[in-house]
Amino acid sequence: MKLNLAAYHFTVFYMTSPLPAIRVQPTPNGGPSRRSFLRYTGASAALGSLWLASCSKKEDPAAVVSLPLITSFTPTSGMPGTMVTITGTSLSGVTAVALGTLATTFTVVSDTSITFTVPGAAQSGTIKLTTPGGTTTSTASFTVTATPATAPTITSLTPASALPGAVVTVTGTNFTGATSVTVNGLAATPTVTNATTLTFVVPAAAQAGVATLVITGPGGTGTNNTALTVLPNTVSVGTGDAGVLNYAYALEQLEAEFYRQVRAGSYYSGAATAEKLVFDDLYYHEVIHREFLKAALTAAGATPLKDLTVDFSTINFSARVSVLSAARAFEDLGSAAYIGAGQYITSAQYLYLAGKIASVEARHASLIRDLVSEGTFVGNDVLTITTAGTSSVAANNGPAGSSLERALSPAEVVAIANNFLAPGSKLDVSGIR
Amino acid sequence: MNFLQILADIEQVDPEVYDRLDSRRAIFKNMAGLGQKLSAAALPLAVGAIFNKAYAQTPAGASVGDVLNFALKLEYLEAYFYQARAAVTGLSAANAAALALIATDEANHVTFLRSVLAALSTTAIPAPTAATFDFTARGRFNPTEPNTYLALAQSLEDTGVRAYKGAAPLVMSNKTVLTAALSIHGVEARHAARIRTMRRGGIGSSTPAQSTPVSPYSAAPKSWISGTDNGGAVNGFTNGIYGAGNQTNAPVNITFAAEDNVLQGGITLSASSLPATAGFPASAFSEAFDEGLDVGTVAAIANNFSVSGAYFS
Repeated sequence: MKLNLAAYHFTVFYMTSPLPAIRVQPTPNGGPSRRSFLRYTGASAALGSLWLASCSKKEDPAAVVSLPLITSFTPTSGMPGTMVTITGTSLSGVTAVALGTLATTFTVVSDTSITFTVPGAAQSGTIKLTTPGGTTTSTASFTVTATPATAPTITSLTPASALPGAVVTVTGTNFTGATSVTVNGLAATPTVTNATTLTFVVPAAAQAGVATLVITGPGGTGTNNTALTVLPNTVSVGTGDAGVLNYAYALEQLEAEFYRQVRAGSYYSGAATAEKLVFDDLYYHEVIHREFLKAALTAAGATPLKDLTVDFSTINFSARVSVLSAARAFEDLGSAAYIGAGQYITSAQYLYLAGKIASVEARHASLIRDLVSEGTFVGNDVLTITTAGTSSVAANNGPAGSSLERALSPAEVVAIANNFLAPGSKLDVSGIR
Repeated sequence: MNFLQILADIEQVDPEVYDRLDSRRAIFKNMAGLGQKLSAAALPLAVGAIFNKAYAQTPAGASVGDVLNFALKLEYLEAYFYQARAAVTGLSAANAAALALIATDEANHVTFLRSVLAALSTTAIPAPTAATFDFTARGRFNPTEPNTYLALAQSLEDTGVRAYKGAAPLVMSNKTVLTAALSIHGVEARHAARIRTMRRGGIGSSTPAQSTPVSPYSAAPKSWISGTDNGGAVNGFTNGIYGAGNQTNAPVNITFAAEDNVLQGGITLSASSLPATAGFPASAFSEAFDEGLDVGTVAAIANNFSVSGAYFS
């Protein structure tokens, strides 16, 4: 029979001096022994022996563990669906949680924390924890509040003017359980902080101007009385020849800033001399292009675009492959842009000037592509070698087998370029036609 | 000076010229009456006073079709030049492969330009044969020698870029032809950059893009034109490719400057006029812009490779 020593208490004593030898005396004539002693041998005559004095069985270990104790819970009131956190001690062994008389699902987070969700049919009452050894009930009650019968109201917005993608904080009432927020009918992602505060993100497609905000909650819908102004996501390049020059100016801003960041990055600082020289020249050329176009616009009496804010979050300036790949994309894009823009220029002088920049961008593209992979200075991705052009503007498309560089319309170019421009700096080229 | 003929010529490009003249009929009558008594020196000033518009002066007879046919001749020149690469030895496999790609493009350009002319119902020049061209430039070069071959390639490509650039304003009345011309212009620039890269890396290099340029750039150039590149690949022969063109009959405000030009659209490219460029190397300002070239100068350059000496004229 195996003995679970852990279930027993043992009392022992330790002898430090030897005992005289004791022997069990067999009874005369072979009868049963009437006394029994622990036998000991000569070894026990050694100094220091451990003797068992008595043993008894322990009580069930589980019955010895403390009952759970509820120290506090938060929140102290809420609607069905509210998550309540109970703080206390010895919570690990809890097998059931009830709010009033209604059982709830629960999660033991730790020995000091349990969470549960207020059930749909719950009524106000105390919180009871059940363990195999007994129950514990909270001293305070949890108040179950009814879902709001009234619609949300909107008092204020912070900020009152925001770009698409920005977070706006709304102050008002009856936001608990709010399920949707719309900006001019466009769905926005809401986060309810509490009954009087929620935040939402201005949708990327939100049109610029004063917007109608609608919050829908269990009690109904609420609309803003205070204005929400959606700031323009885009900047317009304008119209006519000035529009084309501003379009070119915007692309040169993008490229110049890219190369500035390349030269500030760790790939460049460790790059081979030949590659450093290339990126130096590319930087100088794009800045010169940018500054020339700005000056030319001003000299022509037109207004240059504002300084654009870029978004290079997808580019890793410490990795050669990422930098070269981005450079290739920008140079091929710029080359395609100049080719596709020529048809919208009415001044022969401006067309000629644009052409002077265009061939330099093509030279850039050629070398960058060869740095990515030798011999790819041309390819079917940029020239109509085996397949025809696919621009939505027919004049841009050479037939298969013509080896024309694939031109892109201004709209097609900015669809790509706008991925690298922040909200508020994205280009609107609808004026070029 | 045949004043009436001038008016007739101008009417071809500006049908409204007579409307403007009507308001100045008194002047016109005086001009007609005094026509034989006004000095030749005085007439141009008087003419300028009447006409409040400057006219782009295109080369005589330069129509869209003419420009396309001239471009077609240049493409034949390049197509046959790249066919001749078969006789060149000593090039790395990478360099040979690049030349093959360029050869395909030039042949495609020939086919394409012929199709455009056909679409415009314009007669294309008859196709020349290889015998039309002489890549020794009348015995000056051995084009089977690899360094020479690449030097000639760079010269032809850089010339082609300048030619298409100068011609673009001449075809801007047709958006499809203009865009096609700008496209080919871009392709020639990519070719030019690659050839320069190959020369920089050396005929036997398999990683030319990794090579470093060496000033003054005749032998180991950058992939872009820097100043006048010390006269080009063959200083003494190729200088005209990087020099100024001929301004006679140039369209208004179209200047065929040398490649070291830094005056663009009335703006001098320098740190003093463009403060954001402070500290930039001087070479960057001319490198950032390529220059166009007039048809006449291009023809003169190309005729170096014409057996007759006049194929491009």
